Amino acid sequence: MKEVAEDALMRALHEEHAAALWSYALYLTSGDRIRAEDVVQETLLRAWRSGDVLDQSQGSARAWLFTVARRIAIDGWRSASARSEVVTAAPPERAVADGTDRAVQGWLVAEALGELSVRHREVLVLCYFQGYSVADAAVRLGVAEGTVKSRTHYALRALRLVLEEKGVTQ
Amino acid sequence: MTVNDPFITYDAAYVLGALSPEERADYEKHLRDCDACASAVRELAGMPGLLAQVDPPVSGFPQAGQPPQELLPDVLRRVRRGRRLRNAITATSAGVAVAACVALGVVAALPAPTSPPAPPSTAMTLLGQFPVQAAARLVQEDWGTQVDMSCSYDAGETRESHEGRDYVLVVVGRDGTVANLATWLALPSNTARIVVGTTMKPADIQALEIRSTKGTPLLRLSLS
Repeated sequence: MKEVAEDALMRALHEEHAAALWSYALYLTSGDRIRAEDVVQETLLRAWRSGDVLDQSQGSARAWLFTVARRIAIDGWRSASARSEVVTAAPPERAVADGTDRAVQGWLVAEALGELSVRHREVLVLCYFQGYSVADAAVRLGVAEGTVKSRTHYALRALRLVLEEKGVTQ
Repeated sequence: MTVNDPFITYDAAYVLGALSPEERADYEKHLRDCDACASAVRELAGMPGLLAQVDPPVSGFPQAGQPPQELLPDVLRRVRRGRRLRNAITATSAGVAVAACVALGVVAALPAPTSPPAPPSTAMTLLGQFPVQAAARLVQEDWGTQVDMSCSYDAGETRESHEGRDYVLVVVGRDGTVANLATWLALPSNTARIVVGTTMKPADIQALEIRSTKGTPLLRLSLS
């Protein structure tokens, strides 16, 4: 009975978080799929050991997992190395909003941008990351300036909602 | 802000810094009189700070990709491996490996309690042809490190199979120090589990070794 429950916990963790962890691990390992899989496996195992990750809201669970994955990647963790066993399974800090783990928070914001519609994302990329004015973005996109304003208006609110779901607050 | 407020959608472009200087001036003048727009700006005021934490996208933003298909089976195998080890330890009869405990160690050579589940251990590396295998894990504690080791001895059908053997668990520090953590008598076909503490921090530990009483290293777990 217990074995089934333990398998079920790991399956649930995988179902819920593996895809997001995979993207992050690929980023952390600069696209090294072998290392990325190691990072994801080890992260899922630690989550499984600590047990209560699934009880957290989806947002804070994601931040927890990303924090663990990042540490594993940075520690140069290698498959089946002893070092991973030295680290305790204690959950890291759950809050990411205090700036203690900016890198993880930055990733969560990037991920949130990735979840927006193409139109919302492109207008934010132009107007924020590439520094376009509303007028320049309108030319670039072939739409009216008023359309750029209303798209940024809705896009930033959509982003804010996604971030709240991920537990990222300002 | 009325339904026809021409400034109703300016808030985001404003906080992103994308308005032209003229529009910006007009909007800021409007904000002094329009609570709704001012409140809309306050809602979005933190967003540029969050966006600033993102590395400028080079190849687009992450889209959740499909992890490799073998990921789930692999990780389930690791879950089961850890479980088997725990079961083996729990099934071992008590009192097999009551140890002579040294100085700072506390030895609990008992079947594992049923909870909490211990993380899987790492197999120690055999340093020769010895009829023994062991696995250990280290857990950092406030006071140092807890070492949790299980060791089984299987002499097979040799003439030694009815004798026990004395083993020593030692910790080797990065500074070269060697400390005995525990000694025990290993009996054939049984598993000893030893939980022992050391004041050394995990980072200061280079290796764990199981040695014979003559000092010959039999198994080793390197920590780097």
